[in-house]
Amino acid sequence: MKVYRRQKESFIYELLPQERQLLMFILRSFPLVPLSHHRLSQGGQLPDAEANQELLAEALAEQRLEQQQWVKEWLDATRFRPVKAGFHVTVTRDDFETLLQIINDVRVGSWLALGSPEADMEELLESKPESTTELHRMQLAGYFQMALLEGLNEGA
Amino acid sequence: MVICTDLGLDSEGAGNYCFGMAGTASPEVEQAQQTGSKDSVDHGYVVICWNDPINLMDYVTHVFQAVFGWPRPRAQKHMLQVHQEGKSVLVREGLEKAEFYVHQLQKYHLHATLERAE
Repeated sequence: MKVYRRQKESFIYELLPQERQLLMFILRSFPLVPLSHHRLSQGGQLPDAEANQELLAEALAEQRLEQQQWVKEWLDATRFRPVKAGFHVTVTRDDFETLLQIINDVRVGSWLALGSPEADMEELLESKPESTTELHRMQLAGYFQMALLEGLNEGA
Repeated sequence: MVICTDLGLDSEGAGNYCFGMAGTASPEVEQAQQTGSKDSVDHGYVVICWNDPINLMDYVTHVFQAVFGWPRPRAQKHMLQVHQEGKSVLVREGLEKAEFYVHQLQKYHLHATLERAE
C-alpha cells in the first residue's frame, strides 16, 4: 500500500489486490480491545472516580458502535476502484483518523490477546505457535498504520 | 512568577496555558509546580501518557499532533520522553478538560491516564 496522490481534503492510496484483501481482513477483525481495558486514572485519587470511569466506558462504547457502523459502510466494495496495479482507495482527512483508530484497535487487541508480550515476537512465536494469527494480525495492522501515515509525509 | 489559566481547547495546544514561560515549547508542568504555594494554587490534574511496547512511535507522534494540535517537533519530544523515560506529562488542566484529553488519547488506544497534580 502506498500513497498514490495527496489532495487537499483526501489521500488516494494504491493497494495490490492482496493488500486490499488483507486490509479488509484487518477491518473485519474490529473491534478487539475489550471496553474495560482503559482506566481513567492509575492513582485512584480522582473525585467520583467510579462515576468518571463509567463515563469513560460509556464514551468508548458509543464510539465503538459508531466505528462498527463506519467499518460496515467503508467496506463497501465500490470504494476500491480497480486500476492496473490493483486498486485505488480515497481516504478523506476525517476518515483518516477513524481508520487509524480502528486499525490500532486491531493491533492493540491482537497484542492483548497474545498476553501483552514485551519480549521478542519471534521468540513468542516459537514458544506459542498457536499465536500465529494474532501475531500476523498485529504486524499487518502496524504495516497499514505506517502506510497510512505516509500520506502525511509530504516528502515521501 | 508563573500564572496559569484556562484558555480552552485552542489549536495551539493545551500546553500554552502558562504565562511567564514565553519561548518554551512545552508546558513543563514540573516548572510550574515549583512556583506558588501549595495552599494558594489549585494544581489541577495532569494528563500522562505511559510507555507501552505496542504503539508505534510515528503513530504516537501523530496522535499527539491530532489531539493537542501540537507541531510535529513538540509531539516528537513528548513521544521520545514516553519512549525513553516511561511516561510524559502532556498537559495540566482542570478535571473536566483533563478527562476530555484522556478520552481522546484512549480513543486512539494510547495508554493515557489523568492524575491529581501535586
